[in-house]
Amino acid sequence: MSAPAPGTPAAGWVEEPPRPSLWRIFALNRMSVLGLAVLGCLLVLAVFGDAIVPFDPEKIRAGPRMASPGAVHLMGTDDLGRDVFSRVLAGLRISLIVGLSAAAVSTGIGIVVGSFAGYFGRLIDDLLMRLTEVFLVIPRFFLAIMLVAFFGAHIVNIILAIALLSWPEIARIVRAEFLSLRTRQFVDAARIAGCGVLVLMFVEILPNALAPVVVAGTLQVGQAMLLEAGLSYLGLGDPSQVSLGIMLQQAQQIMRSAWWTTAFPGLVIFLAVLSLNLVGDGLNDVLSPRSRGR
Amino acid sequence: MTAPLLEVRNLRVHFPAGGGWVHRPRGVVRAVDGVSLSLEEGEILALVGESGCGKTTLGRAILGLVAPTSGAILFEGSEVTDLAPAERRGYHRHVQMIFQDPFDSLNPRKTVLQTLAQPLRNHGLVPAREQRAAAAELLDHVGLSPGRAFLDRYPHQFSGGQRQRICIARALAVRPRIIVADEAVSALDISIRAQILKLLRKLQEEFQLSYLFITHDLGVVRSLCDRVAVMYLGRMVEEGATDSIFTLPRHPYTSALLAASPMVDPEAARRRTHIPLAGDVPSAMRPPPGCRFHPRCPIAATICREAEPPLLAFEGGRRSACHFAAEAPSWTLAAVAKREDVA
Repeated sequence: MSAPAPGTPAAGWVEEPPRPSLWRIFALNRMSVLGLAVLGCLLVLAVFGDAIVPFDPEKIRAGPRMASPGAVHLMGTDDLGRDVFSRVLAGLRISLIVGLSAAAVSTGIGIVVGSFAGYFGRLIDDLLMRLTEVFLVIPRFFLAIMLVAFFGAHIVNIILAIALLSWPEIARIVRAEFLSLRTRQFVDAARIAGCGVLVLMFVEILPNALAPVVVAGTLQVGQAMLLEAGLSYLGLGDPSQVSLGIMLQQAQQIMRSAWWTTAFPGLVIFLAVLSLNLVGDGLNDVLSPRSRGR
Repeated sequence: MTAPLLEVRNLRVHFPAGGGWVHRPRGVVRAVDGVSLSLEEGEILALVGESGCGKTTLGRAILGLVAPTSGAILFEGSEVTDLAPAERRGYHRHVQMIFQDPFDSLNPRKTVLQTLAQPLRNHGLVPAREQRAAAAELLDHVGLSPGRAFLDRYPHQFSGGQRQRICIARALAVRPRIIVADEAVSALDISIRAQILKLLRKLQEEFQLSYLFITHDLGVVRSLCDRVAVMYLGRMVEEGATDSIFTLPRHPYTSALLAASPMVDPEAARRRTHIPLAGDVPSAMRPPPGCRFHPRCPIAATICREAEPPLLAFEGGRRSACHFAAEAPSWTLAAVAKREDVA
């Protein structure tokens, strides 16, 4: 309704400067580039681990028991004589699968809940946001323990339990974006161009709301990996899989005599989560409204 | 007599202010409070008023973008006030809108082609493989030629004037009968403004359009519009043919608006009588009793504080809601006299 008074210099001929490429903005943050490099290496190792590893990660007595790191066993062996390097790569793969799937499921739930709450507002918003808050106030870790203990420590259950605890953050971000985007004129324009509600929500509004979601989703991958490691450490990991958390748990007893059995899995978790967070930071720089432009 | 192309009958749009599920609303904003108007085939009707008078809300209500509290909207004599989604889509084939801010009304993530193809696809007007050609043709119509050169660009690659042309092309896509233009040129530079106005006039002839032109710029009204409807605080205060209203306003608010609009000729500007307006538009949550304009009116009398003036008919189909509308030409003198009394 409010319009500039006649004669006010208005936005007629705003020639936008050529936008710097997204990679250029990302590269401004050296730590993010480092994080991306580390994450890339870890992903390659996880995907092609099977071809690289010298030993079957599950094979008992692949070498002497508790051998210290050396030429044959890069990261030594554990108390059953299993090769730690092979197990770390296998564990990294499982941890990344858990992290990525949990973050994907959580982002999916968050987007749906947040979209409906933000688009429809009023009663639907109230109901969905109160539900979201219920999940936010429950201590995450204890609920995860309860869920996994109740439904069984299968890897799918662990992924779902982690996702169920992580979506509220995404939902709140999506809702906030929808609240501001739904009043934009292009949404009304699409409405009178004959678009249905779902098209308005997911074709018109959602693509404009994704930037902060991508950032939060990236950070959630790291958080999910940590949560999985925590669950595994407490003995709630999937016993049929080698994850980094499970390695830590199994090595509890021999930590003092064979430091390499815990140090290397711990270091890899640390690197993975750190690099994910750095990449998330870099994405935030790229996608934040400052550099996004309209 | 045949029904007008578009008719608005005693329309009210009220919004609850504040509150929510738990708290009770603090009040009601009467954005549009009992407005009637009609738009004839081929006509350009201006809807004028200050910011916050409800003109944009009225425009949005006509498109069904806000739900009216009461009253009726009729298109070709049939009611379109509360349509089901499918019927509303059919209605939008005939009535379209151009929005105020060309930087806000195009989806930044969509190419021009995607934006223009949307109405064509939703209304099944053009087979999928001809959409590109149809979209290019639309751009040619609005002066972006050759249209096909612009189809794969994103909105940020265009200037404000070009964007507004794209918005006009989108509104034209369904070949509507009516276009509601909400401050369609006010966000543009003066020079661009003239081009867009020229384009709108050209398109009106080409496609036999009717416009409801919402604006606060009386220069635009004079150069483009056949009829004017003046709104103040959710009510219609005056209505009539452009020439006749510009010559003899029958409501002090209209005179004040005319007096406040910039004039190019300094001689003419000096000659005209000023009716200064004091203060701002009062809150639409608590409109003043009696005539809503009385706190700011230079000729307000006791009756204005007590009774709300009806919309009275005058010569040439004019209507005015002022107790002193019949004495129109003498106001300016009265206003000056009153000011001298005070001084």
